[in-house]
Amino acid sequence: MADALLRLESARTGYGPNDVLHGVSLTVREGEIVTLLGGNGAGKTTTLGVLSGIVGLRQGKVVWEGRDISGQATADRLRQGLVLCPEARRIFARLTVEENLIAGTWVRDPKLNKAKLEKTWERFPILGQRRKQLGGTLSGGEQQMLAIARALMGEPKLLMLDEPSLGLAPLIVEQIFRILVEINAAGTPVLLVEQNAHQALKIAHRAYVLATGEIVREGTGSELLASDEVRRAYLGED
Amino acid sequence: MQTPPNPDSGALLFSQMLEILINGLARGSVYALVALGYTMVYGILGMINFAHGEIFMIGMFAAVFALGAMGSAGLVAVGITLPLAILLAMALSAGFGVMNERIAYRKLRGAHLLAPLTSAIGMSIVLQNFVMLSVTKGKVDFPRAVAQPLANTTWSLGPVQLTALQAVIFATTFALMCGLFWLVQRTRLGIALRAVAQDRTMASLCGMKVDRLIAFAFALGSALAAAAGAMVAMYQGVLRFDSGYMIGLKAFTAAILGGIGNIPGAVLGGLIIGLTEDLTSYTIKSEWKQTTAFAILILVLWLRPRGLLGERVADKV
Ligand SMILES: Nc1ncnc2c1ncn2[C@@H]1O[C@H](COP(=O)(O)OP(=O)(O)O)[C@@H](O)[C@H]1O
Ligand SMILES: [Mg+2]
Repeated sequence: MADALLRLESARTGYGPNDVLHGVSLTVREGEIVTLLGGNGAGKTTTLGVLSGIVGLRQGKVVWEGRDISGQATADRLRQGLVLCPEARRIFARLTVEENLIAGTWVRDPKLNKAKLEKTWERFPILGQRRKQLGGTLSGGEQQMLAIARALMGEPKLLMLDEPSLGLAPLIVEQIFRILVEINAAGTPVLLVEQNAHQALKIAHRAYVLATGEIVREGTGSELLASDEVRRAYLGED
Repeated sequence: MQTPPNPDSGALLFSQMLEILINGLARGSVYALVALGYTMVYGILGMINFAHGEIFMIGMFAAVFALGAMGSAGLVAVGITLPLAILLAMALSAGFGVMNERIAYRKLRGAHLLAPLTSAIGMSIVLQNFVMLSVTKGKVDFPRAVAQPLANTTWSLGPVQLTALQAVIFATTFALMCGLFWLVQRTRLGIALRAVAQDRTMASLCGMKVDRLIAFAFALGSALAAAAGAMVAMYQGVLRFDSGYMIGLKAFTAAILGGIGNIPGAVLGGLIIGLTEDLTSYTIKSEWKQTTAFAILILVLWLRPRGLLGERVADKV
């Protein structure tokens, strides 16, 4: 079995006096797509916040390539390749598509990197067509693509995404998930947070199910897809 | 920026209009430089920097002292000493601007709007008193040896005269504004500044050092204010610890008029206020110039609450 690239060990944290995560542990290995499923308010975004350093830990640790990085700032984690594509896309609405991407290169390139932009236009032709348009004028699907492209500008060693399918039409969701599979096939592991369990399980090697701040199930994508309990509880099927 | 005596009421001659235009634009471009600082800080923090007028005043004093020091060291070539003095004033005010951000703003970023407002007013009082107590209570003269030759050198522009002093003001403000536009619109650093202004969390997820970029915005605005301060000191010939108050208020007005947070808006607002003041001085009476300037502000805000170039709320995603 490949080495763990990222390990979250018994993470406890919260915003007020009460904990929101009650000892969450998970692992991502080289080459994997791992999905973290769970309903609204389960603690998925908080988990990603802990991993990227936006949310502090009360207990437990974040281990990256064998080293404890729990105390490191977001920028330092980014520099090591731990890149988050956040919830609700957070496109800079009044920057152009191109400027959004340049913002994404901030942590890597001290100067404007034209070659990187060219590669993005090849991979996402629609963004190339809209490169001078303001981010806020793109459609939801285009904004999600831009958010992913911007995250890729940071040259992730692990790409973490928070509900990239949220609010998008099924066809667009399929397209986004296809892109994630391509990114993974090209060698980048992916940690995918989703409520859209059915789609996510289809592309994931392994999956965790989070409920009220605890991991309640874990297994391979196909195991969880086949499990009646998971289908009922998290896929909205009877 | 002195205004000539009030001519008889009646139709304005073409030459008079040109003169109003030149004087008004000179006055307005200085307001614009100061207004840029208000608008940049508001753009990036959503807060008004009420100590900005004092940063301007510190720039005035710094320029005068730098010129004095160079003069006594035997350095008198205006072509060298003036730019050097302006640069020194810009650097010193930038330092004060960064300190202001550190002390009056950083800790209060998440607080209720009234908290940073109060601390900034406090900072403004502290800075005024600092200059009053450590420098002087009285008036300080701008070195005549520098200003006089510039004020006496004139070029004819058709029917009107343009002084070298006005030319220096136009050239400097124009160069600084172009520099700022270039920085904000065309460079990576400018993209980062705008990114921080729009979404601080996402900016830090891109690896941007948000605190440093905010401090940098304060430094930039303060440097522009100091350049404006140096030029006003030169134009007026005298300065005092409270010289930043009125111009700060007017530049703030200009920023609001143009649409606070909007960079071209600050320039537009500054020019409009400057022109209005000179037009009023010629057509009505110099004493009325502030009344009309603020009347215009009220009128514009009544018609366009977000200012001339301000975005509607709906545009802010
Ligand atoms: N910034 C915050 N301040 C206070 N409580 C929060 C904050 N963010 C999330 N929470 C709470 O933490 C819990 C988990 O939220 P979150 O991690 O966003 O869940 P999910 O992403 O799975 O929907 C929820 O009960 C939510 O109300
Ligand atoms: Mg969430």
